[in-house]
Amino acid sequence: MTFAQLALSNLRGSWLRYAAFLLSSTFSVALFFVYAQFLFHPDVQGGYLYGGPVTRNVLTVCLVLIAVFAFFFVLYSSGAFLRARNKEFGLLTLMGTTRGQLRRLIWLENTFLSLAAIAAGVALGLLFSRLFLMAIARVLLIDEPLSFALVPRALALTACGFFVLFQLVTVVGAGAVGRRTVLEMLKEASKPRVKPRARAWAAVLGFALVAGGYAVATAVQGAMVAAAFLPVVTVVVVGTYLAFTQGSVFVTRRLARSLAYLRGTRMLVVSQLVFRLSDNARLLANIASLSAVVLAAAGTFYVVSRQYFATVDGQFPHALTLVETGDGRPQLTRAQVDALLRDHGVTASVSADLPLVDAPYALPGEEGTDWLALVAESAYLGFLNALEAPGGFGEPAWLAPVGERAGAQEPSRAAAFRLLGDAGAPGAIAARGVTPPTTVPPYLASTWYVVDDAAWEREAARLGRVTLAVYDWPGADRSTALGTAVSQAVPSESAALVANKHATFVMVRQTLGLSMFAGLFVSVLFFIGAGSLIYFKLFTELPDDRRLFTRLKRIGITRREAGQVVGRQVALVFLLPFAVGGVHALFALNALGALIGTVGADRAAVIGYALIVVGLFAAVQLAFFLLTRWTYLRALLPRA
Amino acid sequence: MTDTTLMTGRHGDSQGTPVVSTAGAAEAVLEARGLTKVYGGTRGGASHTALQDFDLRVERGEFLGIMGPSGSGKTTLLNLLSTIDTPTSGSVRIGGQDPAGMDAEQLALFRRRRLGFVFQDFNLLDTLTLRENVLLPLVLDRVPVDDMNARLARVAGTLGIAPVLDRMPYEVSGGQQQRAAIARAIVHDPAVVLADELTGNLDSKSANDVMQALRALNEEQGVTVVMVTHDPFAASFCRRVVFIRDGRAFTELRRGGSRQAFFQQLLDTLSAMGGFAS
Repeated sequence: MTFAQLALSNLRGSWLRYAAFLLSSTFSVALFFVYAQFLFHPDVQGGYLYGGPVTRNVLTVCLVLIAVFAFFFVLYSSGAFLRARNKEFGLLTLMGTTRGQLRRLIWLENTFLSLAAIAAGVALGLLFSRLFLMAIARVLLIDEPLSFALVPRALALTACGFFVLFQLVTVVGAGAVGRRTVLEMLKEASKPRVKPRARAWAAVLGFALVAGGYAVATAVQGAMVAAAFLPVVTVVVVGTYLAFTQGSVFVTRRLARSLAYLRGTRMLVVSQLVFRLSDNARLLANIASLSAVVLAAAGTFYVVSRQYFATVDGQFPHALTLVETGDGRPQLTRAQVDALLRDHGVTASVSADLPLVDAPYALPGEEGTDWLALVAESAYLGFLNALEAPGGFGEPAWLAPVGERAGAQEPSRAAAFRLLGDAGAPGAIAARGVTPPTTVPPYLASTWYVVDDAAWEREAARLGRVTLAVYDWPGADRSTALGTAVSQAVPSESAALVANKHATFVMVRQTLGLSMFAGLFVSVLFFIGAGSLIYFKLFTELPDDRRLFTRLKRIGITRREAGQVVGRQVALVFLLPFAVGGVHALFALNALGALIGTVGADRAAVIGYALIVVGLFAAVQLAFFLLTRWTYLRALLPRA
Repeated sequence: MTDTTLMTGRHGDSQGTPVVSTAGAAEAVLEARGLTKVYGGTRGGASHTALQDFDLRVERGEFLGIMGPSGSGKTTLLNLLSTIDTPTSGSVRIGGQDPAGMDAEQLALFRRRRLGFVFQDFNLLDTLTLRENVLLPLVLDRVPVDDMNARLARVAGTLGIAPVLDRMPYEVSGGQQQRAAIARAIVHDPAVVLADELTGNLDSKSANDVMQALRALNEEQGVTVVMVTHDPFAASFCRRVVFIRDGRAFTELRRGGSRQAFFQQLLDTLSAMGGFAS
């Protein structure tokens, strides 16, 4: 048997022990690969991204963060894996395996494992990115924001990067194994656990820092938010670290002194938590702070995109407005729209039209010309009535007709009207400016003047008339067959004659889609990664827990009680960092609301959006937790 | 019955045995009849009979030792008595109850309330202080705090662990850990305490302390003890010792005079059983 065969059969023999390490490594590879695939995708590199180079830079920074995250993840699981095997290494040494052979054995095993992990990770990553793209397209009602492809650069970076990473981690680990004596290795498992101590002042300081940060984040208004941002984040991160490392031990030890502690399973839960929280404190503090950052970022993105949608919605009070020019060029007509409505069995909730005179005019004292639309008073009032729009006239003005209107496409050549400050000019028409009560297609001027009916008829005869038609129907902002049919019925050369809510929403969604994809993607990856880290960390503690429950079982603990003891601990270790991160993020988004409040947006709505984002992730995390608890309990207390 | 010809004083003929000095009416707190345990052989593999047709009767306030060489069936017997394992045939009654009809949940509660355990490796939880370890069965049963403290004070005093109650297990000696384990085994007044090689991990001084404490509990508080051991020194503290070999009862001895004399008797019996030295 060659040495390589020994390593291989070692792998086969204790497969389960290796499985956890392999799984966590595969996971890191998949995480990184999916992200690299996204970042190096031709569409993303090609500048199709909302926000341009800034967003790309942010995403690159994220890639570095994920790489660092993956590095520690692998280093950590490799360390835990080697530690768990100390006794085996001790025995091998005892039987005469030399230090060099032991190192070579570890190196060979890890190389096999890392190659398997890279292959499996890439495969898993491809599957995951495909599924994620499909899900995004479904949820956002858009075409898939990216084409699905294997990006060679991402593959190369992942495979080479991780191979080097695994080799590095292996060399570090194998070196450490070689340095220990046989006795140290054999005794490693039976080291007593020293009860952790906490400094009260540090614990109190930690909680005070977090509370202080919250207070400042709540109190700041407007422009101060930006100034306070960095100091508050620093204070809260430091506070979180202290709260987890010192505060958790401090609180659990305090709990152990209360009388309620000596009742039922609480004593077991709390006494174990002292160890579990302090063993994992750094990991949990990091996850708490990072999830706060990720949630705040996801929340910010959601808030901004919601605001954007709200703005677009405000610009389109009706589903469709169109201009009929009556000059014979191809265009969407009222008859066509009526037919489409009939075909789709949709009854328009609003259907009205308004004749207008479309004319160029000159501003007083200026050379250039602009466009205005003249509306007859009675027609305008009827139109407002049909739209159930509020009335009201603006500033009075005088319009002096100045000869024939030039060609519609050449506004600079002549003006049909000159806007006057008073009624002094001969033939000047009294007019009042009004705000159009609906979206005006780009073809038509959105500067509207109302004149009396007789004057309007005169000018219409002189300059020609067009008709503006307005339609509205339920669900116009969603993707419906009717919306698509209407969009398709518009001839491309006369798109300016139409204002189509549906088409605009589809366009906005598509534009925001990739960015939304990026935002969601990074958050989802992070939460899956962080959740898995805790998951694997939990499973490294499984042998200890097994030993404990074997002891408890002999004394007589029921299955239900054992489940309770473990379930509560898993719940706290799993959910606490995310809960803390969620609360951090809510305070951050509240401050963001204050910032947005200064530019006229609704602060209450921002908080509502923030709650939606945090709530959504909380729900996902809760599901992840339930799954973790279920698998852990099944592994710990198999049904007899 | 015929295969245990060397046995004396078994429950079946104990009335006529002069060495018995049972106080008052003989009330059995633990009674095993025809216990047999066969391992393996379910799928055509080789079967192994670890225990065969074993009878045992333990009366209230007894201090019983069970001795035998490695592989004689001691541990199997203890596991059956402690309801951790189920017999292939035969029955066990503890405190008038038959655990055979109980489900896992009821068994757990039964062990917790009616039995006390002391193990070779102490079996203390290393995340709990000695005090918490001792209180564990009471805490799980939600006994009022005052009641718990009263019981704790009583057992901790007898066992001499009161000064170290707030230490963690790794901070005290093996003897102190084992005495804390004994305290945990008796703090809830179980019907019987089952001990498995409880001096196996202790030096001779600690072993002596632990056995003295156990004997004091037996004599002063009437705690019933069944102890499995192959250490004749530990067994010499018992008032009756049952020997077991190849899964069957071999003989039994009752202590008449001093502990030293009993110790010598035990050694003699062990050498008579053959191939089995301390």
